[in-house]
Amino acid sequence: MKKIEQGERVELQAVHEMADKNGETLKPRIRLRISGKPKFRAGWHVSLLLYNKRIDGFGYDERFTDLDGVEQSGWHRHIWNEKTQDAEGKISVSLFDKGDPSFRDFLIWSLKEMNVSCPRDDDYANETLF
Amino acid sequence: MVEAHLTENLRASGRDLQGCTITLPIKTVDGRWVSVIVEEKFDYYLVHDGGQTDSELFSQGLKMSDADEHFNAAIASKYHLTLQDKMIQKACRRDDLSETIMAVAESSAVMTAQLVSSRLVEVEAQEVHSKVSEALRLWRPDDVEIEQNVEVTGGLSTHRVDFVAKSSASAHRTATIKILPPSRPRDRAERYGFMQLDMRQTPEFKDWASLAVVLGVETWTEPALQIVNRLADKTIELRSDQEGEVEARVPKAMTALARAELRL
Repeated sequence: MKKIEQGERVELQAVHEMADKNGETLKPRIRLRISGKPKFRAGWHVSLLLYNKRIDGFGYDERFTDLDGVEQSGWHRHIWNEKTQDAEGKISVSLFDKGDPSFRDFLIWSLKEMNVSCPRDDDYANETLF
Repeated sequence: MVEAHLTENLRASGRDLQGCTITLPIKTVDGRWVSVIVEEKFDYYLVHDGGQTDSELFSQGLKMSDADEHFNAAIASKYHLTLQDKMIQKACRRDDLSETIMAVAESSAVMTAQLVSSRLVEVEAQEVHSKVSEALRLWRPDDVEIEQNVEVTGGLSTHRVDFVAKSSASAHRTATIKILPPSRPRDRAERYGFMQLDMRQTPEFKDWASLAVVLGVETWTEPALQIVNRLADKTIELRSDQEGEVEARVPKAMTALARAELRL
């Protein structure tokens, strides 16, 4: 958390065991990336990557068009699309509408929504998640 | 009509602790509207992107290696801006404010060109190709010639390998080196497998050894990796953050391939 709050980029890795369509066991490496400058929410990102592609994540845009084609502003979540095999589509989220969240609030909420468990100590950057 | 479009798509937020955020009628390669933050200081303005471009690139899988950062800094410099503390920025007077806002926005949009995956893959593969070339040059025994980008005509098709270490003495075995980038791993693995099987059925190449260098191994599925491991005599698997190790691992692998021959 100290690293993150100093504006450093952080990457945490974990091996995720899963089965593919043919029932074969796969053990892909999943990476969680956190980045942004605490002072400017426009750059805050939490992103889950599989095979170097974002599969889930949260961020902030002053202006974006959601999956229904409606123009939105503010916090959003990236939604995985089976057809296009990416998570570029966004939906607006209202999790953070209660006042101005800090970068820490944003991270805690995002990780919770993504079912990523947080280590109890205060130094996320040195811990393995999941 | 154009003027109306530009005006309609130019937005400005109210001032808050972060300054004023201006969203311009410019889109990035990944389809985002570009926003620029303007902070009013005593007698000048600080215009920047709040670190959003850097953060976007990182969150979408870009390594942000020294080479990536130098590339971004070079783009910023072309627009007479700096890339400092991960932010595209410039301090300016009121007279230059509009031009500076446009420059930050354009620079931000141009940097996202790196998200075009083919470029990422291409650049990575080229960097590794150069490193392997240098490693082979240093490793090369006297009786071995190194050839680059060699076409090999098998019984069924013509294939291209990155290098052939061609031996003129029986002490070493001629070997092919193929670099396998991380895009579409299953297709690459199957194509590699086809090449290996085709070469084995061709008398001229059937005794050649093979080294496969797999890049971005974290993006490969297990079945794709298995194909390569089964059909190459030796495989070097490198994660995206390990590509610097290739120079150390290639000579060891080549020596091991030569030793394997001596045992036969």
